[in-house]
Amino acid sequence: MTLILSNEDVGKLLTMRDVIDVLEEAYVELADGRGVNRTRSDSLSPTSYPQATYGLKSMDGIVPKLGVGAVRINSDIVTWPKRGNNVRREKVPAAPNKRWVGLVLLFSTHNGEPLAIFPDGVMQRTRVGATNGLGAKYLSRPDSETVGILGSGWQAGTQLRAVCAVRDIKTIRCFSPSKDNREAFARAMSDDLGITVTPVEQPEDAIRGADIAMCASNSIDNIFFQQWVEPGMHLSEIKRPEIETAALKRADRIVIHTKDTTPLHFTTKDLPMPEKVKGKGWAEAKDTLDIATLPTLPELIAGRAKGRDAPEQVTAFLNNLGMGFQFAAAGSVLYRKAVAAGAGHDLPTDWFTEDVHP
Amino acid sequence: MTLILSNDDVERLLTIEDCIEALDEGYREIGEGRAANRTRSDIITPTIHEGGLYALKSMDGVIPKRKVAAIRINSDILTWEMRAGNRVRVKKPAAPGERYVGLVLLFSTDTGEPLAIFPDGVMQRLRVAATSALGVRLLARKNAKTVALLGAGWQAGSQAMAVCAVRDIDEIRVYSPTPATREAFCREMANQVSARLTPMSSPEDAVKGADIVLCATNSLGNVFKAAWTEPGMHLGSIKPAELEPAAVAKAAVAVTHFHDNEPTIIRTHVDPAKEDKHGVRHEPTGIDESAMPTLPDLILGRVKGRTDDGQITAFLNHAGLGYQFAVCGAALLKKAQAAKAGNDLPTEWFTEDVHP
Repeated sequence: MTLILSNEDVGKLLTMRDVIDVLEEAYVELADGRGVNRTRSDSLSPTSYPQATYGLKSMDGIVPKLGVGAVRINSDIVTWPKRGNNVRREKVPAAPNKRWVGLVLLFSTHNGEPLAIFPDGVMQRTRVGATNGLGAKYLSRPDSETVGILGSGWQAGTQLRAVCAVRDIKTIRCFSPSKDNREAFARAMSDDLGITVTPVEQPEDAIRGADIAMCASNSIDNIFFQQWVEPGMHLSEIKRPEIETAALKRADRIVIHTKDTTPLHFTTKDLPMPEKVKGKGWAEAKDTLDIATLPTLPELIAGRAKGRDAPEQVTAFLNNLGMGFQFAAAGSVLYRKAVAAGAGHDLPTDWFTEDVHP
Repeated sequence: MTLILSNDDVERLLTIEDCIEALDEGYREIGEGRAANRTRSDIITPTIHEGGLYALKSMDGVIPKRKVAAIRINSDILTWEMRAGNRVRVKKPAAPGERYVGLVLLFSTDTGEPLAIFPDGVMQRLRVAATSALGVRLLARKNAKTVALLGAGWQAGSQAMAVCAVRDIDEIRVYSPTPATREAFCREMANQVSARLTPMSSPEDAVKGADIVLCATNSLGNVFKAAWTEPGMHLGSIKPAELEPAAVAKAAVAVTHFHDNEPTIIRTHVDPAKEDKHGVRHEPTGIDESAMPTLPDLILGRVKGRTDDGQITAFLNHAGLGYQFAVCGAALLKKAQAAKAGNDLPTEWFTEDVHP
């Protein structure tokens, strides 16, 4: 049978700890050449949705040790609204009943069969969080107890859960431009974590004195600046270029997620691409930081790259681009737990296999 | 609702003519820069099958005019066998019930929603043949009557249907090495095409006097020799090695399917003893397709096709596009919705209220 799981199933079954642990194991496989990942690709075209672009995004990866390959697909209507001074990249929930479209397909490397199909949302943020959590585990001071976070959206919550899973955090301060958002977020996360999350009015107030500074926004502009860097701080971002390059230049160690700096773009002719404008998003990542020369998180975990070696050092982890490989790793745990729990809808595997040679 | 279709649904609903017309439009769109295609990628690792490898293959494309995007995924167990002295790659049907795994997912470019999911097998061969048929339509002599078909497998069947859809063919002469196979093929295809099918005992006999030669094999060696070319002939191939390079060199007009279409291959550090020289990639063929015009160029009139009946022409249809699945998928979807075919699943199963 092929399992169809929902985000609720994923949320119920898969813990932050599961994902941190399986990624830690899988990254060693990847660093040692026993796992594979394909760089994300975006096929982009016009859409009839006003002021938007259609994107079919895919990424895949295989963890042979866990017997699972995964393809993660997003079918997005993307807009680039300006909020305050910053341009945001926003996916519009344009599917029926105002829903987004992201799917993960898991396959067995033993016999090729489709094991499961499920929406990507919950796993997506859990694996982003877990990845930055591993960055903090391997780079921040072991005695870190104060976190400042910029952002109060859907990624920020899992960032906090992840950092609390790897360090004994006692104090969290949160800034985001909208007062209502940051206050609601602080309330919700205080309950979730059992640690007081304090909303603050300026980004500097969140960062000052923090052992770990986390960026978790959807900005395609800089939101963390060099004058905020303090000795011993660990800096963390979930996308380029939240941390400005001048701030990164003050770090003793910078580790990236993957040497793939940008997705591969396949587009129709003359399609507007705000993220490729100089100084923004991918273009910024390409222009001002030679990412390909930096060590990766898998190398760091496998002991092939140097981490922090003094408390006063400044470290940075850039979760510069996601990997399909993460969905294979996290998917293997999810599948095992889902089968054990009897979760989801079972569909006949024959619907997704064939007796005709493809 | 999201439609789950079977290969039987695709076979019943989608004709070769549908695919030819859809692709004719699709190549115009992509030739004008109004569509997108992502080159195929293969990621390859060990599997538990002795001497085998696991491959996860994907390709995708978007045709905004038809508001459809498609991704095609294959999850293959690859093994290698010796056949007639050649080591050939064989996909093993290892999924439960001895089945293969290939899927197409269609999405709406207006809303992003998943429109349909179906196995790729039937569409896979229809789009290959429909593409070859466009080559025939634009390059073969208008009065072509006789076809030589080299190969009697899965792809050969759709090539036979496709060529009959674009030319008024009287006879298809079929050669493949095993007599029983070519005879069975002629019997089975007899009620699917109007042309007479004749099994031939040698490739030379099949091609002698033919107006159109179509190669439809899985051969890693040449199956059509330069010495067999005749004035006015149109040559078609679906695998890089089928046509001897000297045969292609004789063509006044030689057109390739698409440029910049080499698959990206990513693999684990495989044990060199298991490394296969033929398996994953084709050996260089000696034919430089990068210098040839493409099918979209030809369809859009950017290059001349055949200008006189004495010319030899060639169309090389060697690498598929994810885009073809978007184009043919749009045609399939229209017919499937009209026929209320397949299993409808709640779209909510494949969409989400959580921001991805």
